[in-house]
Amino acid sequence: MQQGAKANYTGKQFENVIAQQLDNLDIGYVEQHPFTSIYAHTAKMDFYIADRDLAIEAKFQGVGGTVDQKIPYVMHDLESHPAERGLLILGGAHFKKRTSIYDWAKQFAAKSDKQIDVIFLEELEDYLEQIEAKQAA
Amino acid sequence: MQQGAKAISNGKDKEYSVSECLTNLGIDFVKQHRFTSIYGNKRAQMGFYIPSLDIAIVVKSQEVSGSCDHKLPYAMLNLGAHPAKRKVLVMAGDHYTTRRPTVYHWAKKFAATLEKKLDVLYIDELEDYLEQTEARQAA
Repeated sequence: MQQGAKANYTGKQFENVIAQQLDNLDIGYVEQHPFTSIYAHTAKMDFYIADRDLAIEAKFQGVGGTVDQKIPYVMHDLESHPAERGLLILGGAHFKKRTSIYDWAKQFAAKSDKQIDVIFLEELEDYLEQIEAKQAA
Repeated sequence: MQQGAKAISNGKDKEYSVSECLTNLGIDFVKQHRFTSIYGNKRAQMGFYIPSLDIAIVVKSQEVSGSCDHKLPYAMLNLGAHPAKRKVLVMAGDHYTTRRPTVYHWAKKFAATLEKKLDVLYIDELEDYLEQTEARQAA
């Protein structure tokens, strides 16, 4: 399998894992939610959770590859999505090993005018529960 | 040829065009110039560096639809992180010129927000740009 095709394959699997977690938590969502990208064309956000007004992008990188080069684009797109909150979920060995990428994304989020969070997949359940608790309070 | 392999091949062609342009103008350059990326990678490589003009150049090429344009903000931020005085993003291919010029417009706008000066050009503007920069430096 070519590198690009392999990256898409693992990326899709990663999205399926997230969808499964959302299902387990009984959270309704839209997959491939259309919005206007920074390039002014119709793009698709991986997930949109309407009752939390949360847009989610998922990025997975195993070992090699160039998915990490798309992180700045993803962060800008999360900013341009009309949802109140944005969330980048990272997965795969590359992001765990090269924590500077996670750090860069966190710094970007901290400077943004919008509420954007960056987490690893394992943090998703806690993150969603916290948002729910805050909303209920 | 698979999409990814084709994109790499197109990119190499355009890099060759830039090499050729620099050579024709008699400008010495370094290819794959080492610098520290925005992610702190000290072994990152900038497409071209011209010591005499202190210019760093990145070439981004895309012919058809795909996700190469998703790497553009990263390329621009990395240009910003390069220590060169001048930074240039060179865009090439139908995707940027004809199919989706909004990407070029976004890059121009984004460049204006960066702390350091960064110029965004189409590949056919590069020769004039370099000649003008050389002339300004000589003046």
